[in-house]
Amino acid sequence: MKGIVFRGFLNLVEENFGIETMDAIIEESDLASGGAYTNVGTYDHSEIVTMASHLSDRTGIAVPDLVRTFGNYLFNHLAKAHPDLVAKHSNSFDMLDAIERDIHREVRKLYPDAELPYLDCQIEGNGTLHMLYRSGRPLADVAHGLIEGCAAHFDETITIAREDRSTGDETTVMFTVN
Amino acid sequence: MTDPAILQRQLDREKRAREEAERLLEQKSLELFDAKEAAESSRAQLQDAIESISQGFLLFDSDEKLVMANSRYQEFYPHLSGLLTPGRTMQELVEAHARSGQTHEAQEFVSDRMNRFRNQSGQSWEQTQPDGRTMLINEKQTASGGLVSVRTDITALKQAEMLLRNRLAAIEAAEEGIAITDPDGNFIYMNHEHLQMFGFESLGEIEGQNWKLLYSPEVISVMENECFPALIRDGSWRGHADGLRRDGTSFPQEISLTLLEDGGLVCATRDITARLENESQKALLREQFNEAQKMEEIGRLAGGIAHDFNNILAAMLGYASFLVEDLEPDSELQGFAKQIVSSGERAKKLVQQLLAFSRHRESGFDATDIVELTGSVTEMLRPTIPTNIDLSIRTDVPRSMINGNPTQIEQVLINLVVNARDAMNGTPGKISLIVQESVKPEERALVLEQLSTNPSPNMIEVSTADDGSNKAWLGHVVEGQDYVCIRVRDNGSGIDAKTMEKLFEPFFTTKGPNEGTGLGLAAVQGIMLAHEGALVVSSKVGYGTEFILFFPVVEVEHIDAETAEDEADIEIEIRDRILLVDDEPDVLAMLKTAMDRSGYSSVAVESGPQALETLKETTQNFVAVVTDFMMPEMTGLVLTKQIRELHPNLPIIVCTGYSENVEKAEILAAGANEFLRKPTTGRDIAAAIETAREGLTH
Repeated sequence: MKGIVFRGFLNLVEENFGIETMDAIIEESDLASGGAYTNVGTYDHSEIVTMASHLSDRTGIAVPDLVRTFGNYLFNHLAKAHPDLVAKHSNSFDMLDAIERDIHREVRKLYPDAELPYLDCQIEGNGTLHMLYRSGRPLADVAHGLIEGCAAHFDETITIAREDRSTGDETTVMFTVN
Repeated sequence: MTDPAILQRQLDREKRAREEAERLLEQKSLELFDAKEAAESSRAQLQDAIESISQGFLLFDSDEKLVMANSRYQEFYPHLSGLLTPGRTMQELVEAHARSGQTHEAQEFVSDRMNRFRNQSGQSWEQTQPDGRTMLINEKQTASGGLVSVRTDITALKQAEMLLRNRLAAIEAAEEGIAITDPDGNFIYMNHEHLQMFGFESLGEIEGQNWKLLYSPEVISVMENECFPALIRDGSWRGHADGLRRDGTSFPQEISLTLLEDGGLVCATRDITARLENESQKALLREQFNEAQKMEEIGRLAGGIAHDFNNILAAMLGYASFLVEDLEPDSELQGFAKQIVSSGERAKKLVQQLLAFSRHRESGFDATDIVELTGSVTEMLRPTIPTNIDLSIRTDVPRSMINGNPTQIEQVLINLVVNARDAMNGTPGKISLIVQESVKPEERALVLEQLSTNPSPNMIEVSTADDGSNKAWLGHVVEGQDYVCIRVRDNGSGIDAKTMEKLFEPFFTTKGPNEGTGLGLAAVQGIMLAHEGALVVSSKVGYGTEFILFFPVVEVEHIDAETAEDEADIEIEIRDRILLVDDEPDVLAMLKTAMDRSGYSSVAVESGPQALETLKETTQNFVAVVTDFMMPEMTGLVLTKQIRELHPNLPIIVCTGYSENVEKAEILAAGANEFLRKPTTGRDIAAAIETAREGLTH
């Protein structure tokens, strides 16, 4: 996982729970990277899971909720960093549909070794979006938060239903958004 | 207040992250540098590869802009070479191509071409260039949305394809059957003629089947043991073998086999059934032609001999008759002289046989009643037939007239009846002569068909029937002409097939020495053909033989009947002078003696010029000129014409022993008054002189 994600997570923790909490979970997690992340570096995804787990212990907030919040935060970060990518779209469904087709494609050009989740969107005429999340990492909650952040950005009220279809080492979740 | 230790740790983390970022950046830069070098190397390799291919290559990016075009493409489209630079749009190139005059309907071409560029089906297509070249075009979209276009010049391939198609058409149109097998001997190709030859309609019926299907086990054995070793040794084999049609019938073939590189075979074959039949027919015709030529030569030889013999016989018979007249009656010497005359007469008949065989159509053809003639010959022969042989005659018609020579027809009947008698070999038997208007109705069609189809009237056809009977026929009959036929039938020993083939050959005889000359049936052949008749012989060994003679029937009034000769005794005016002309001294001397003994005073000269000279000197004293016809210095015909110019009323008698080209009518037309055939007697000549003198007097 790219360092930019870790830095985003730590920024979120620092902004919401203070530098002490951020320092504490880094120290408690005994990370291989030592918590020194650079955007272009690549790090083991389990470090973010470990840190989320210690954050949950300290804050009493469940890990999925923390991770979902991180997904929400990531979308806002994307919108601020690359407003042109978001401005092309007028609603959350088009935006979500373009993530795999446009954004991931560009990421792969820049970082050919990037291990990105696969997001396959299908929009139905009755205002329903089916988004299939497939990844070797157990971070479906990041996607969940991403959907929520996207809807909030477009000022939309949505409901999200999840169906876990995971098998073996792969995490597969079907999100149905109305 | 934040714990300084926490801040320090965070600063350390940031520092490490920065150092890591720098390290990664440096690493990335090195990687990028390496990647750039590798990419440039790959691009150079790719460019080199694209330049070295024989196809024209064109690459557009996803914005329809040209990325690269190799030099081969520029060779194919020289009118675009200045435009094939990176960044040029597909539309610009297509429009430039259209403007160059390489296409018709430029606007439509641009539209179609762009449409094809943008909607690739992945299928290749062919494009014919204005200069006649043919391009195979393959176009495909790249993964990045660009387009690759590859042009292959397939002109040579198309020409080769055309050549192959033409060759295949030629093979299909060939009159020879042509087939190809794989190394296992299974058919992979067969042309139309080969299919038909073996009774197949389409290749599908025989494709994949083994060649052995078309041959009998015996032929297969010969092929495998004799032909194939030679084929493997020499690479080809020619020969003959019987093929087996689909319906099981066989036919003769001429075969040429050629070994292919892959072990297969090319077989070229012809059905030679018709050719073998033609060759057989030609051989038969050649044999018949040779036989006819041989007969013609023998006939000519016989005619020449007869001419000389007649002259010799004329002298011998003349002098012998003088001896008979002058010697004491019933004396021994007169008996000797009579023997000479008798032998001379037999020799004379032999000469007549030779002349008859030579088919010389002599004068003496008259309206002849064949019924009456057959009757009289039968009665004449009856005393010569042994009493244990029943000789009978039946005439189904009262009278039937032909244009014929009675003496020759007599000769035919005598020869046939004598042969029939001899066929009895001394045992009792039966000989029947039957005169009919024509053959029996049931036989008529068969006989007439055989005679009508006889290829040459001079040829003799022979056949053997299933029941062992042999048949021969000669001459032919004419459709619409009526024929009278005489059957001469016996129940003697019969004629076998081998004898039948030589039956009419001169000097061929089955009789013992001194019993037959071998000229009898040869004379019959000559006489029948001279009478424009035909003859059929049917015989079966042990059962007997039947000769059927066909003579064309004529209306009596069509006959240019000869004037009947006056048989009355001739009153001769004593000492009338006649001029005798003959180049044969012996004959001339005999004639002079004969005429002198007949009461004439004759002058003998040996040539035409001498005769003319003599006439000029003593014209008034001659009452007639008697001249030979065939003389070396001046023929009797020329002499007659010249005498007639000088002496319109002098009787001229022409005597001839044999002539090929001159007819009696021609001699009379030249001015002669009478025509005599040698050997002649003094009495014959005297009668002719008197007839001529009477004619001139009246």
